[in-house]
Amino acid sequence: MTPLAQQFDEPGRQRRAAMLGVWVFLATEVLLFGALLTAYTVYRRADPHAFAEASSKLYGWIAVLNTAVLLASSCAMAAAVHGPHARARRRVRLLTLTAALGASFLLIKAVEYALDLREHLLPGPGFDAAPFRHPQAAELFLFFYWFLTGLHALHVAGGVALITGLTLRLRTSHRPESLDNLVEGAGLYWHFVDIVWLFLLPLLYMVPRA
Amino acid sequence: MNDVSAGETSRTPRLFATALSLYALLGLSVVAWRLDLGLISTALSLLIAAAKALIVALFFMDLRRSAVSVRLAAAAGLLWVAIMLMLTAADYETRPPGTRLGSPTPSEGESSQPPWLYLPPADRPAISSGSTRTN
Repeated sequence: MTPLAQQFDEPGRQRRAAMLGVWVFLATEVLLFGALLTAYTVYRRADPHAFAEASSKLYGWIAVLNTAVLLASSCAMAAAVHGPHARARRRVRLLTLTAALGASFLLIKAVEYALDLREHLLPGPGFDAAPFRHPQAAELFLFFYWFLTGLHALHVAGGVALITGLTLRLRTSHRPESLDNLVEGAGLYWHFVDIVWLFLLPLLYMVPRA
Repeated sequence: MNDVSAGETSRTPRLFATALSLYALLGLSVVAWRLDLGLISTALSLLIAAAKALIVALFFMDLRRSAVSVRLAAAAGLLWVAIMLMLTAADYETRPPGTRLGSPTPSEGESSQPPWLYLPPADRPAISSGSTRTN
């Protein structure tokens, strides 16, 4: 277990305080993504046809593949956090797998971005309006697409860095159980990043042609 | 020590069951997407996403066994987003047709605002199909 800081009477309280801290941080993250998704909803309601048209230009199957990768990563993280704590080596292996799957997600996303760029789907001077019946609204949709997926990818990258750092510390630590709270907190963050993607998938890639 | 390891071994099958249900729901999302059910497909796909999120929160994030303070923190974020969504919808969904998104009243005739800034008038599709990127 994590060494007891002086302000805590017992390890259980220390752990509960740590987890509450992570959850409060996650609540602020919900507000960050919630505000962006509210704006997205308002503009999509104003122009559903144009949003559906622009969404159909995205690579939905790559996003589905990426969802599968991120879910697998979450499963590996859950196994690392909830598995037998005594076996530190198993935990190191599972955390390495979690980070590797997270990195795979970023790699696949980078390929998707490259394909998007090749088709001039990035809003701005290089944007190709020709394939769209409603180019202005399409550009607005694509702005949301790049911003939301980009912000999410930043969260994934931060998570991969966090988990990699933790794994290295676990490997070299003489008392790996002293990092229990850190591993559990990182797990909460990682699952949250997964949940954000679970909502981005239908909202950005699966817009029905109303 | 014994009861701890017993609890941990019983967790592995549950982890697999959780993973399996998540992938089954992902499959369902893809089916709903490819079938293109029209208007209800947005509601359906969001409902499936919410189900996935609930499974992740309850079983992976262990919310079902968390302290009350943790559950309150988790609910607080969602509550405030729900309030924001409801107040926003109460505004935009109750404006008269033909209103610009930036103004609370209907605009007179054709405006110089870009067409996507309008809520569509009741008798007209969202955008006239001839709209271009000029201006």
